[in-house]
Amino acid sequence: MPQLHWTVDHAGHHRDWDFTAGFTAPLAEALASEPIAADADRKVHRYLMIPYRPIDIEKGGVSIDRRQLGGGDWAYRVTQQNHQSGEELTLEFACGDDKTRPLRTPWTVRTNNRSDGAYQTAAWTGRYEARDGGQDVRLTTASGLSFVSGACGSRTPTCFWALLDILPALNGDGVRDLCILEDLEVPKLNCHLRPLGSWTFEADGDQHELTGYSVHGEGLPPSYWWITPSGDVAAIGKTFSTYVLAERRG
Amino acid sequence: MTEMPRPPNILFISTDQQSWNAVSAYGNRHLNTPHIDRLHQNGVSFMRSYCSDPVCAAARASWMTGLYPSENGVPFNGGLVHEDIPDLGQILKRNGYRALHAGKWHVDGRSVRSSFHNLYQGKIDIGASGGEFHDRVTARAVIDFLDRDLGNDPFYLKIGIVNPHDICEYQHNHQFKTVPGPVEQGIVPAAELPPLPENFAYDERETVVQQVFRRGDDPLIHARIVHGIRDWTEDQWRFLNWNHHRFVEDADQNIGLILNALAASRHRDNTLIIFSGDHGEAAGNHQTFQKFALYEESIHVPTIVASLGDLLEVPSGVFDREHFVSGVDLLPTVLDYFGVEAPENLQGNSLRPLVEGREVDWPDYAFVESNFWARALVTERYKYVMEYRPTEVEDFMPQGPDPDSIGREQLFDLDVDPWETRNLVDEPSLANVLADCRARLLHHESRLGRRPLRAGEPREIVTEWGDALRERWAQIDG
Repeated sequence: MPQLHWTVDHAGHHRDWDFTAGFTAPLAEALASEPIAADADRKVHRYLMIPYRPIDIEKGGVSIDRRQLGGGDWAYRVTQQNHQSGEELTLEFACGDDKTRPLRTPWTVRTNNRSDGAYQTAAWTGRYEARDGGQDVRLTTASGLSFVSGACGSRTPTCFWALLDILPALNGDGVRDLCILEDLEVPKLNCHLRPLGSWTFEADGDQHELTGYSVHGEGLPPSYWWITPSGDVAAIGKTFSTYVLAERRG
Repeated sequence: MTEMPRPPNILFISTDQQSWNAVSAYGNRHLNTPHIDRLHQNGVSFMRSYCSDPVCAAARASWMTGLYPSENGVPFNGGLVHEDIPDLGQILKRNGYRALHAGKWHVDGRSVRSSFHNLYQGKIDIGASGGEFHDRVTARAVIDFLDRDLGNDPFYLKIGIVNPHDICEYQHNHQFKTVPGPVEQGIVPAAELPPLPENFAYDERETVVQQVFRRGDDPLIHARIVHGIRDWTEDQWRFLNWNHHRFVEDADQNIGLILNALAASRHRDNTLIIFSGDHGEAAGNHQTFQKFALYEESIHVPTIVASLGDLLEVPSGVFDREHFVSGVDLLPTVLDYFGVEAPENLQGNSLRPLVEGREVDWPDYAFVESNFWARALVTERYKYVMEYRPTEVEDFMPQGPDPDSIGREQLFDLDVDPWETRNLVDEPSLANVLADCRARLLHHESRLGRRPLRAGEPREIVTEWGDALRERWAQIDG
């Protein structure tokens, strides 16, 4: 079995399930698939989400599907399933085509929750609201409750999942003071994207040279992202979970 | 002031593992908590607030029962609440009020669903950790309730934010692998890390409980983490604190979502907000991590009573640096606001008269329990920590008040040594202070309704821990 990088390696916590194999097999299969063409106008990445410890090994996942629109912007549809929380989250938004993928206004969020509590579903739209030379994020629920969820300052935020397209374009550079709108709800200020060196992921006799980045900011504990030479995020290590690429297609 | 037509709604928002000083409004320059700051700006911050016991289940069981751990059966994670003790949800429902819950519960031995109307508790019930999975969903569940609720009856809603507890998982991640330093990895420049705590070097004259549970190569609590971090550099200790700050900020942002939704809802004016932490995080203080200790960083928590509207009698931006507040005060406070008679034998007091600026008799100390055998008394100036030596034969009854079985003691002068770096227990000039603190603690314990632990896991835990303590005491006694 290959040695996993410490940022994604939670094998020690999993006694009854082979974490390394569970990480390696889908990633090796995904990386063996045809890379997405650089000029593709549609990109889909699907990840398995593995809890860092065996609370329940039923894995969740996230799919990031984006299409380039006529004017150059990208329309994203992100669907995420978390089997611990029971939350199914759907984000629909658009971003500009430049390096930091600025989030266009408005956007929508829908949730379905499969736990046994009274909270079952919610939906809201988000938009910017100018204030004091900067902008706030305003959320409005389907039944009309409307409130500011936070301020982004003068920077146009991007979405957490747009990092899939931001990080590969950095070519080893870092970014300071990005505003990331997590789940299109909460602006995380002062986010830094910093290079983390490289890691050779080996599977089935193949070697894949991955480039790493750390991502953190105010209220955003570090996550660690690993990029293939063809520009796919191969894996993401967070405190409580690891995301591993299971599918890529253009 | 408008006459209150009915009791207010109460939101009790809790964070998990947040020390009193992890709030930017209180002067911490290494993190940013604008939403907790907003609570302070719209309320009263009780700057001498202490948990009943520095571990999740014990602290939370005290919130829900108004009793100390030695009374309610939960002196550690895995203790079980005595079945006949009513909890806050049961009392409120019995009196016709709505009692709701969203987020972390962790009161071992009591199902949240049996006592509260459950808004959200996870598909797989929230355990100790998992803020990354659950906190945003908890906030959504609360916003959904505030948005849709059409009822006119007062409600109590407990909102259990998990973070910054995920800092524990950051530490657990060191159990099975080598994690390089953050500075050499380029994750964070050294200049961005907070400094080492002032009490990183500590006085090793600690209780035997502290030594057996938390010190050495094979402590009873989290030995694997100790093995994983034994070679940590100073930067790695600083990075632990840095990470904790990010988790605190994450909790603060979820609290902000809830506050902003509340402020926009029809419940804004008639809702009282109580905010507190269940216990603190050591984050390198006294060269340790997490909780399970009686140092300030583990037991001293933030507590704020606030309102975002103008209807309730809550002052703004007040620091109460005088009154000692405890986790056992939550239940009598909520019942006071709802006009419900509190059960007999409660140890806590309603904070309402303090919030409303009324004169009231109030304890001049805080009492804290830890790890079944250890106790602390915090007074105006001094802090006294002691332990009971375990009985020869374990009877599963929390000990006390028994002067003859007192083991080691610690005494700190918080006026001159707020970081508890010098144990003054052998200082001759303070012999009277030590005797006075000891007597006050024992007197307090004489009022407690201690009960033996329930059968099963709690007794197994105490048997294992007690054996380790007895072995260490045998070595000490020679």
